[in-house]
Amino acid sequence: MTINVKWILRLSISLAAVIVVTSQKSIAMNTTEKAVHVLNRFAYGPKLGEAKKLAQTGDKGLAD
Amino acid sequence: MNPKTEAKLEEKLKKLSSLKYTNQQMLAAFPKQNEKTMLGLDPDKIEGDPKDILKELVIQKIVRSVESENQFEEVLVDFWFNHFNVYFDKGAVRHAVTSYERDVIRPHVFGNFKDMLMATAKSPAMLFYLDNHKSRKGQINENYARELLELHTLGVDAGYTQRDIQETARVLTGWSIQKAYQISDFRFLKNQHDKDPKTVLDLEFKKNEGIKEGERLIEYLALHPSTAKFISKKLAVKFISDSPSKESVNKLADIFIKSRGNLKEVYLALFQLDEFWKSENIKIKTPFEYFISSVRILNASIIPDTEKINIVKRFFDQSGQSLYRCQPPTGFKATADFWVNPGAMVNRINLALKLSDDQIPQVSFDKNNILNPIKNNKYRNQDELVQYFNKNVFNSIIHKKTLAKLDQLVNESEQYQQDSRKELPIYYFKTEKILALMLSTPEFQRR
Repeated sequence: MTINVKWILRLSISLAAVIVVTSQKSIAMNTTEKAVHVLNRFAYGPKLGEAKKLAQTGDKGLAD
Repeated sequence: MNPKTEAKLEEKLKKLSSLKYTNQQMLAAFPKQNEKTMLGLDPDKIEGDPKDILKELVIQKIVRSVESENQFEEVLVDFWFNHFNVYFDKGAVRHAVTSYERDVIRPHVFGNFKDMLMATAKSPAMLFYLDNHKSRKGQINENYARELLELHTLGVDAGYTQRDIQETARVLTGWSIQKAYQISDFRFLKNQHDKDPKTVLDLEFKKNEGIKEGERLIEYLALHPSTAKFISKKLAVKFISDSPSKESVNKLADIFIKSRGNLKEVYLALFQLDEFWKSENIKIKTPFEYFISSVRILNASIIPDTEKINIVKRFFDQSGQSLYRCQPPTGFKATADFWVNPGAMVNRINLALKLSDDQIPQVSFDKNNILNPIKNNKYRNQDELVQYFNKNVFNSIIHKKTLAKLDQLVNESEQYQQDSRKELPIYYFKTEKILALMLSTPEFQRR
């Protein structure tokens, strides 16, 4: 896959601004969102499918 | 925790032999030229390169962070190593960092703060890094004493004075290592200790208390209210937001004091704070967190080969987070201002593009993990594909507005690329690009 460097550069500048400005606080999280939040803070983020598993089964589900 | 998974992880790390070495074994296996002479080894005999210690350390950190089921421990080892930072490239420290992380930091992350502080104070890596090993009566070195008060315990605003720093250094004279170049175990050298009375803050030391002085001082500092507040704020900045409320910090500090520095209780309190549950997706990931979370979300795995580490190591170096090589004792910053700038974003996007295209030799990413469910060609257009990935890979964290922008960006990049494979199913040629862009979204760059 080849991607034009100019395109990456332009994207990176707008991203840097957006990341700072758009931090959003959630009002009420559903169970999956809570699972993602916990995995983002107390782990290095969810693995593929892990957040849903955690939301459904609690932390026991992660040991399978 | 699944014992099978952990056993598999340890098996993967088995061939990184230096991970089990003591400091002395490390020196014998990876000496520099001048150290060979000091050790009486044949200078022409080929020994391991000290750089390999760093490579093995970096790989084990990445492998554990990606694959360990005990994720919280890995996050905490990173946090506390950074809090009690030592710098790999400072002389003999390189032979002691492996043991420092393994034997000094890791065993204490769920324990008591006082024990961890004491262990770092007596660790050869810290004694060498902040020069306390050379501090003796009449020739004190204040480096460790200063950082002990400013960075490890009380915090810079706690109201101590330069005199307190000097008195702390006097208390800790003789806290040393037997042979600096061999970076041997901790030794208290009685004849180098300042035996006269001293006072640090409101703590007095009578004449001739020996090693007990330092131990008493460290216990006092570990349980000091300013330390409770300083550590609580640092934990809140790591786990809640760049500017946590005073109320949350005070709650944590209260628990810290009541539990006499029981870290498990402080973590538990953190988890129960209202502010924690209102802080979703507002912390910017460090380059390390970004890389590890990207590998995890794609279900990719790490190949523990020291020869293949270059791209990943270069990413950390260029992003300003060279692992184990943070020179100042402050460690790496945990706030957004330190990590967000256009240059850093270029690095992240480039990494995301390489990762999603399986172009990083140290990472094995099988696209089929993600594509198998859609190979029935159900997803015919780009929008459907983006929606599918957001829901099933990224847990719907990416907002609608970002998804619309992302759609536009993919189309834009197509103009640059002049892709001629339009007759193929859409997932066949757009997956890498879409995944890379999703990994680059503001939502995924935060945690």
